[in-house]
Amino acid sequence: MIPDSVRAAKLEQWVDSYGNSILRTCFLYLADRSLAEDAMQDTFVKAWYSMEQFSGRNESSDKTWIIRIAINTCMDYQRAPWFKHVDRSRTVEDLQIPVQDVSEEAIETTLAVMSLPPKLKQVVLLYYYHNMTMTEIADTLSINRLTVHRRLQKAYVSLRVESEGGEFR
Amino acid sequence: MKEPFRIKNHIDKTLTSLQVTPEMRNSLTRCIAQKTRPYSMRHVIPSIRHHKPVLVLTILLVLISVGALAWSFGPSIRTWFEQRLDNANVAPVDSFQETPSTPIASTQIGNISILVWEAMADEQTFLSNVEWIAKGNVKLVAYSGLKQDLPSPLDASVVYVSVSTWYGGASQEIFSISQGTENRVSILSEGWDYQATEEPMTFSCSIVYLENGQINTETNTVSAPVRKKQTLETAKLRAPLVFPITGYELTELHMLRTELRIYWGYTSSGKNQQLPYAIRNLQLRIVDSTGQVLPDKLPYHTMLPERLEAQIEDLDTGDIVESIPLIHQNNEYIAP
Repeated sequence: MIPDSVRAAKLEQWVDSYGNSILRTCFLYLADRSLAEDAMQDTFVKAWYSMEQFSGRNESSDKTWIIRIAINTCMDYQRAPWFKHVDRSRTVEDLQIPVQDVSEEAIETTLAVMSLPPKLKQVVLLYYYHNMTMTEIADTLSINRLTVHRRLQKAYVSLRVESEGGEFR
Repeated sequence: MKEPFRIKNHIDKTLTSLQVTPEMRNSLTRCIAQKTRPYSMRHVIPSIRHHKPVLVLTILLVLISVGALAWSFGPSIRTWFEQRLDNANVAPVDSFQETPSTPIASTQIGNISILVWEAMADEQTFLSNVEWIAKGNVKLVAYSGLKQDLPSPLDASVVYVSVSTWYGGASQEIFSISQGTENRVSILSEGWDYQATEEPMTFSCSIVYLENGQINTETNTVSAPVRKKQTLETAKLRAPLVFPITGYELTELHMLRTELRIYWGYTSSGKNQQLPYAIRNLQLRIVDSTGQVLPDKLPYHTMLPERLEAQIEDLDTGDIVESIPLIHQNNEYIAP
């Protein structure tokens, strides 16, 4: 049994190290700031309750483990019946985040990633944003490594098409 | 293949403002301390795996108790509920019990998507569920489709929505708004006189909008397949009812809960008919406890009558020649 003080310190360290990237990942998934904040907190609450279980297994890095929780949490949110009926905005204005002094290219890349189909978005975020290896992604998503590779290629083509179409460079 | 579009760099730059704030940290600490979920009111069951044996035992005990109770009192509870339902006498409207997760038909007018979620009908009535979703800076307001219903002055930022269900050249244009937010309006509609032969149901969807101070209307149609509505029989006549003087016989009487419809049939075999009624111009009619003659179709949302009376009326004189009271009991109308 891990003492509460140790758990609290560990959680603090996780929030410091991965909080922002988890929050942004949730946002890219859910396209809603409040939902993303909820999902981020949900992720860390789940991590807190499962900390002991994780320490016992120690089969992957804590970052990979937390990302996996975050992805599952976002997928749970997306599975909610009402989520399907909400129009997910794709314009900068509707994202409700201040984007002053940000290049158009950066904004358009972000929007392009957000518009990818969920399965492709998953691998793109894990591979390019979280710098995970294909094996780690396969492990996180419980899919074949080859499938990861195929999805990455598909996403690459999709992003390239948008890029060449003048959406972003 | 790494970083072909500098994704990490771009995302981090775009979402710089998305950061874990001290408030979020406090909220997280509070959630963990109080064993609650963030922001929302949902509760987390605290570490149930530590109490797994107790939990399993509790679930088993509850299941056994419920089973035992259902075994012993099930029939009487059911009877009690049925009686309560009968006594309530409120005829529920047929509802969309399983709204599909995808629309059965859809169309688009400008920035407005029109989704038909459900269309149900039987031989007489129909129910439909249509939703309007606006994108961009448009506010939707449903109205009954008549120009005189439009507010004055008109709000230029508002698109007034009208939806019509067409069948056999006639339209039904009275609708109730079940729910509406700024950019979506759900319209549940219901009506009589649906002709089941005319499938699919066609929705004529129009929007009314302002342009340069002028009112414009744009219309689009969308056809949706119609699902067969279940007809639930509520009460019928237990046995044919013989009128001893006139020899008339009420052979069937049905009150239908979903359609709120009453219909009956009767014969006059002449058997046992007493003179002089054989030569009179007679007709059977059904009246409620207030003496009101029931039409063969009851108005929508009418209560199911507790007491009825079957009367034989002399059409020449207007006299009631013979009458038998009927009481609604256990889904049947019986003569006491």
